[in-house]
Amino acid sequence: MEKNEILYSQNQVPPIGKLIFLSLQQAVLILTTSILPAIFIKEISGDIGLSISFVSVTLIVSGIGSILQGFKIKGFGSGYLCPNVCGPSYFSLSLQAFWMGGFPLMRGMVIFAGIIEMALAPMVKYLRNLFPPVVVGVVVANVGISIIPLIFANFCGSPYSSDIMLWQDVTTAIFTLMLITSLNIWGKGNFKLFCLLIGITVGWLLYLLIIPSENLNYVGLPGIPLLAIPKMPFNFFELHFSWGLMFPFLIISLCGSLKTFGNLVAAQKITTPELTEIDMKPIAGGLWADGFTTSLSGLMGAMAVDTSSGNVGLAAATKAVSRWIGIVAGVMVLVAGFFPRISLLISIIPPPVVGAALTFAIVFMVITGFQEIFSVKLDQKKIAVVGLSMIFSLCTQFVPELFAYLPKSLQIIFSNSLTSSTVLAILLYQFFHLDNAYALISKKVRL
Amino acid sequence: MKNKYMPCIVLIIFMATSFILSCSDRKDNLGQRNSDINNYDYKRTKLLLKTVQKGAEIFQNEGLYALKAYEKTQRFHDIYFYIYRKSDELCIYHGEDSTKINLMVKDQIDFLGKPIQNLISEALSDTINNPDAWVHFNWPRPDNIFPTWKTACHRKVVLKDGSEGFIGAGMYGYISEKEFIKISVKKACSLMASEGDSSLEYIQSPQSPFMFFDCFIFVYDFNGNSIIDPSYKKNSKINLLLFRDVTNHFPFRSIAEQLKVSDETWNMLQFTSPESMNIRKKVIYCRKTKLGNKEVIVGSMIDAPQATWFK
Repeated sequence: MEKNEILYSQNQVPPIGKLIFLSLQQAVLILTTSILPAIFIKEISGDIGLSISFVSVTLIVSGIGSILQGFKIKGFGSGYLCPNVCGPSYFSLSLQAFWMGGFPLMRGMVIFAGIIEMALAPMVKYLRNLFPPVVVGVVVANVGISIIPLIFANFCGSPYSSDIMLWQDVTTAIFTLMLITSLNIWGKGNFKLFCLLIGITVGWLLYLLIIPSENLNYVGLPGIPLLAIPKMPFNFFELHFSWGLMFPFLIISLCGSLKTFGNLVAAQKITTPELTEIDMKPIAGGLWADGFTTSLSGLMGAMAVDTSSGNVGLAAATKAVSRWIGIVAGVMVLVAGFFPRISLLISIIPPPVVGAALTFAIVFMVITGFQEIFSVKLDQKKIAVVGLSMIFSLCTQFVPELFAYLPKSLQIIFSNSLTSSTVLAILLYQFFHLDNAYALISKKVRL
Repeated sequence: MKNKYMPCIVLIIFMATSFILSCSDRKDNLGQRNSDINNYDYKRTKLLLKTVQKGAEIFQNEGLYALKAYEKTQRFHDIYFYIYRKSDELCIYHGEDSTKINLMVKDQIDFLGKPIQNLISEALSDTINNPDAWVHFNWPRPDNIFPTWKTACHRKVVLKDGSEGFIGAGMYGYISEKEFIKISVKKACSLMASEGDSSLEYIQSPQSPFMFFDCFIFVYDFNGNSIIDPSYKKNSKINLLLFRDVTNHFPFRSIAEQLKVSDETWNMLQFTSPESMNIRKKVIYCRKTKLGNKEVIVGSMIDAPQATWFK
């Protein structure tokens, strides 16, 4: 992407009206992907009150994290538009921790994971050689690819395996996606800028029109208080830790760091395309802020949050990459956490609309990764690194049952395409460039 | 007309077509007992219920010919109706297997020996616990040789000659509806309360409606002694209150504590499976009832609905 294509650059403050709507668009995408806390509460057989509180607290933490990412104060924060959402990375382990020890254990382990991420942040600048453009491209592309199962499950409106797809769900998803994409391609001015917001609104209305029984989901809305401080059912000072869960949470924290790394690199690429190599300083600051936010989510009893690939993709689509958009979006999401009706609305947003919105956003993430890969001349070594890591990482998506028989410590690496592609790309790149490293070392020894 | 407006026009036509196509469904949805439908998790279950309800109304008001026409529109979802006369189990119509039409199927049994017609009659008469008359049986489809579980719901209808009949339709496969074990447990509780110890043999029989998929009834007392063991081990001596799952959760102890203050409860049991990287879950539903002069816990468990993306 050329610099003159960017509408609002990193430090530019858009006009107030545009700022509000661009931030609202980012905030709506954060809100639509905040359905995971509601699913978590359903998994633990919690009631609607707990669901609303849990979603609200998660929104508050997402908002704080989004604001912190936008700032860059003495190495804390990246200064990029890279908001925080509750992603699927921590979902299964958080569930496991909850069943083992309730909220105290879940909170304790999530805080631990956040501390690990913060500890890794300063070391990132020493890892520059591990992340040449081809490896970065593979990581960024797989950040998007790794959440395709979640996106498409929502796209088809089929939350459960062995359930059917209804034509109403698929129609709504296709219509919403086509509307967003058409507005993005052919739209002009505000239609192009707010394509996602318009698409989600119209798609939601269409869903309610063609499935009127869904209107019953909103019947309970007036009974929910307008404004409330979320109340969580645990003692704030009661935190537990489990040595048995330490290793899995360590691994998942590393995976979360990798995902955030990929998102921040993509955000950097989109914001400052003129950079020829990664500037590790803002990346390290972003990882620090992300780790802090993860720990904060544990402390407040929310689901662990990390940076959002979808929102970075949306910034790439709209060419509005000002960090102030992320900060204002963070404020909107934080405030939304005190409105329980918004939390309830999130848990009943039509899955096909969520799927369509995320599909659109992820497209740009995946393509940014491929652009990064093809930005350098590909020799035989680089082709092998990219090809092999992509093929083997996609295996984890296509045939996950093959990896079910691995030892638990290896299963976590092969549980999704992001972690497996990153580990493989780094190892393969170093392996195929061993001869270069040997030559360099020999030269230094001779000197 | 400029080409650049073509995508807008296509989208508007698409939206209008969707709305028009949904009109017939909208009319049906407004007439459904939506509160009952919301008890179910799966869309295929809700669709089957709505289809059978509508099929019963069409058959009652417009006759068999109209029902056949409606059934053709449901072929996409693999839904076929069947209609039987209650008095002599004469098959009036069978959409999936036309060889059954005009046959009396009084002694029809499935792969496990379940007497299907009896189970359907029982389900239809149990309007409190099983208002949708769900029945599970295991047999091969007409074009197959391997038995598959079929879950069907039914409605009473009045036939042309004024006699009583029923209409039903089913879906194949394992469907993790929590409502199914709730129905099964409630029925088992009523049976045990009325017939006592003599009901236990029937409850454990594969021919009973209580055994379907990998679900069956288990019974234990508040001290943790099993009467029908959840692991289906006969004469098991383990104390269920000490049983701990892979997440160190004590499900049976937790259930016993919850049932001290309420009549029913839901709980979870998690276990590892060699085919899955993640922990798998079972949903447990339990009620307390009297067995003789002793209060016991009756329950059943089914796989928890698994999110498509959660491997």
